[in-house]
Amino acid sequence: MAHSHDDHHKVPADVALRVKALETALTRRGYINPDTLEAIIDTYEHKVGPQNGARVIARAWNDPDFKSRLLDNASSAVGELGFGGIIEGTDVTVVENRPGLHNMVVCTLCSCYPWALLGLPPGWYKSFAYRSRAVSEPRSVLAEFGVELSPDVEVRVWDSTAELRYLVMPQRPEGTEDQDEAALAQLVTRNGMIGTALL
Amino acid sequence: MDGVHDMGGMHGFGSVPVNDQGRPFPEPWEGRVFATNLALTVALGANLDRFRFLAESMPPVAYLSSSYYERWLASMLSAVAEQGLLSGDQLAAIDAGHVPEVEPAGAEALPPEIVQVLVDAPTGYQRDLGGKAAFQSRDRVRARTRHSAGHTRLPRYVRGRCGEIISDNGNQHLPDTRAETGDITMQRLYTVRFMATELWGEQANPRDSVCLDLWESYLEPA
Repeated sequence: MAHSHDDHHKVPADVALRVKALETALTRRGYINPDTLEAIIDTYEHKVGPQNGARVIARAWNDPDFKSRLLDNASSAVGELGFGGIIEGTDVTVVENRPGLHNMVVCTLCSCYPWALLGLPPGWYKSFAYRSRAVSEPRSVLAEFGVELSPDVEVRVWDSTAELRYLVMPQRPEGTEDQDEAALAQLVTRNGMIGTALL
Repeated sequence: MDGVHDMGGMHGFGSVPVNDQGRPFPEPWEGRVFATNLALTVALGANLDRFRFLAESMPPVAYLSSSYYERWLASMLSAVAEQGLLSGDQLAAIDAGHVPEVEPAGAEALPPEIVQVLVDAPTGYQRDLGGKAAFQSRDRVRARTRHSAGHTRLPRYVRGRCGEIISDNGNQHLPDTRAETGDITMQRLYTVRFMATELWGEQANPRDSVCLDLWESYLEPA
């Protein structure tokens, strides 16, 4: 037997359909331009990504003066390589891994991430598991990434609660003394710059 | 607000999906949500704090059962309603998947050629260290215990806990007031390092620590 219509909640339409309807309405109102949306999507799919951060780290490994500027004021130093922008990650801090200290980055409250240097965050970074556990049990989180650290190494977790964005400078792999910046940049991974991988 | 978004230290979410590396937008609609929001907020004057507060204000069950960009969509729809960009009837039609009848608002949309400028322009950002700072590096501080129903970036897991100031990041706008009223209140922002044992007890490794960026009004001398 059929229920009366009043008993039924309205079921929202499929999310893709709702998004399309919203975009069309806002476009007709004049608030957005679909070409701009294409440009934004193209930028974050193809142009901005971990390759930016990797260039910064490789430069720092190979150029002690740059490294010192980077650790002192990363926002200004990354501008030397043409990175920055005003979208997200204008105020950047680079934290350096060294023997005895391992840094890792999280945003427990949302999913703040240094877009300008790493692009948009991977799924695991946005997961509730990472957001909840990175601050309270960083070593078991790292173990899930295959990173086992000695208890003698300090794990320092950076919870991005403000507009400062953190990037980890991994330790330079041994045996890379002769490699140039371009070759070094190939070694720097996204997870390495969030602190969930060693290089 | 003390919502489910404030996840630091919570249990029960399982293991980290370490293989979820993903492209930025696995589904095309996710890219459209991201881009629509970015274009709108830049064109209309972004209030990122309000945007975050609107996501946090989702009912907890909805927050937890929504994907990342579903939460963005919910937040954006709330913002569109608040700012009167679309009417309630128009938003109801959208919720049902229909394109509503709309009149042009005479608004000026963000043009495509601006995108590269926004992303590329090196800003040479410098911190504003003017005025007096209540705390200096190496000062001991305690995060205040407060339960605001409004927006805050003071997570529950540090409230009442003691840490040490490790840097003064200058004056930055306080998200609490901007989320509420849109007003910019500048206030000192510090990075505070808390020992893991102070936050989590004896089970933590005594070497480990957690650093957070906290505004002056979140802190008191310890």
